[in-house]
Amino acid sequence: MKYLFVIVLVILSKNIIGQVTGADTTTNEPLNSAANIISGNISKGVTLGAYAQIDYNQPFSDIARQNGNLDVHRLVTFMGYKFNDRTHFVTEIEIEHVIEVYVEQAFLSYMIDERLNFRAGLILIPMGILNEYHEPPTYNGVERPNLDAKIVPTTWREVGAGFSGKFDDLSLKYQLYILNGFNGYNGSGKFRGTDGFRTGRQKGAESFMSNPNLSTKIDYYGIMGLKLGLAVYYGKSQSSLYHGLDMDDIGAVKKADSSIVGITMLGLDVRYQNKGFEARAQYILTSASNTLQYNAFTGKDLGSKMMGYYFEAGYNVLRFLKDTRNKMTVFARYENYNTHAQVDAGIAKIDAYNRTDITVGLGFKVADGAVFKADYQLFKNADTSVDGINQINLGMGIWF
Amino acid sequence: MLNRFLFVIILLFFSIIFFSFEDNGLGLSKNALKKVEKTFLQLWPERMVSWEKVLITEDARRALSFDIKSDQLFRLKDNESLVGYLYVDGAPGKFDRFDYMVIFSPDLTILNVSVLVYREDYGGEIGSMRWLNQFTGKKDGRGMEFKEDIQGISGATISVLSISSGIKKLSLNIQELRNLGVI
Repeated sequence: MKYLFVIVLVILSKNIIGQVTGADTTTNEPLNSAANIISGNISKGVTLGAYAQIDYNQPFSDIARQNGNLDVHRLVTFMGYKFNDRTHFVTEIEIEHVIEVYVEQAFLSYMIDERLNFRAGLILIPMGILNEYHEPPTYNGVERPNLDAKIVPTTWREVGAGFSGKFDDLSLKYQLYILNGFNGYNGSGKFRGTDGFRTGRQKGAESFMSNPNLSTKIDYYGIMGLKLGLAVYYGKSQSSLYHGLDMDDIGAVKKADSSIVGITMLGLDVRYQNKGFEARAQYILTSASNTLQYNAFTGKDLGSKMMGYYFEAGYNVLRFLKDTRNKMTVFARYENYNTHAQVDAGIAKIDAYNRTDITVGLGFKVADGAVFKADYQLFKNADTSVDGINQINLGMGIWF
Repeated sequence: MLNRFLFVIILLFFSIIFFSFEDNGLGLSKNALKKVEKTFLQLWPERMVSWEKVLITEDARRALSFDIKSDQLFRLKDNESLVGYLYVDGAPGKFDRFDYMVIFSPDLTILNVSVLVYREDYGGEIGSMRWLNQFTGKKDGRGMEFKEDIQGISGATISVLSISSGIKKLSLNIQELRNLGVI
């Protein structure tokens, strides 16, 4: 709290000092003409774009025949509108599985300074790589990593407001938002042992808030080819039991307090690229408090700690072919994610939730933003009585 | 908890209002000009660099293979001696254009590239001086192919491509202007 106040004061004071001493350091005539062209050639305008992925998943099992799944998994259109040099509206409208319509982002942003932008609306939570950067040609594999799906849980977006900015001389960018949190209770418990908070995402669809949550991330881009990210998320889950709650009714208050969990999430991510080689790694750790009471009250099996990581490396094997601009990235990813890394006394730890995915495959990029993908996945888990499944995936991804 | 939350909201709200007062429409441009001056000081610490527009005649314009506005290219001088050229241009990012400059030496080698105004939240990493240093020392559009010679930035693909092709274009353009005797 104190630190936030200090940060804002520092930024404010820098601006005041700038105004007093930097009054007019230039005596050059081009001041006005340069200012003219620098004020932007497009004064207003719409930008349109889209991304999409269509997948074919074919699981294999030793003991039973499996049908394949074919899915127009996502078709997302994005629109940006520039009101003026400082003011933009950005939105992504998504159609999932052909019939589900969602809004993935919708926010108004106002640039005070490149170090300080204010943003309000439906915002992507900055946590890990994929939640913010999920256009299909930008990641390897037909499907998104399960670590992101189950633990992050992507695509995670909520309504709120906050700041972002960059400090080029430090090669740092930051984001800081206050938003509504996961819906943990709305007549019944929402969280699950198998995928943590995933079913609690409100996505801006008549979301309710009983406690504001805080989301922050810092990205560092000062080393060539390397991008480092550190994200922290903090808050309590939301519960409908706080609505109309008589604060003098101790029983009711206790009940409401049992229907929420405290969430602290930490995310570390690294991306590296150099000529034909690319690699990424991600680590997510979630600590949930009050899970003993929550599980007892709701009958759910939410873990008190969830943890996951992955390592991935890839190489463009067409790199030395002179006549082609196509790219064929061969990659491998090792992933481990456990939504029951730690559980409270009230519930049994489920070994099957300690999962390991190995993905090997390739992506054939035929243009910037257009890729055909194929990969083979091995899904394992720590419960030896549950058979692992293997799966072949084929798909296409586009982004423009 | 709610009181603290409200306090933060009010503080942030007033910060925005405070900052908005200084916007006279030229706000972003003033910062850009400060960056230009700062770059001159870095490149030529003991010199007083002045800049004058390069005048391009109608005949010369017709002979050029590209368009150039009358206030994009400047001669940089210290008294009467030429220290270099300043070429300003814009390029598209994900949702808006950004403005950048390339400073060339008298023999048209790139001395510095800087992003002057970046207007959106995406891809701003191209402003990193370390990343832009990849173009320093290069000339005549050579050694500026993205992915071949120029390292990418994760999460900033569009702006990286955009500024790389822009810088290459400016480098070729200024060479063409030299070949035609305009500069």
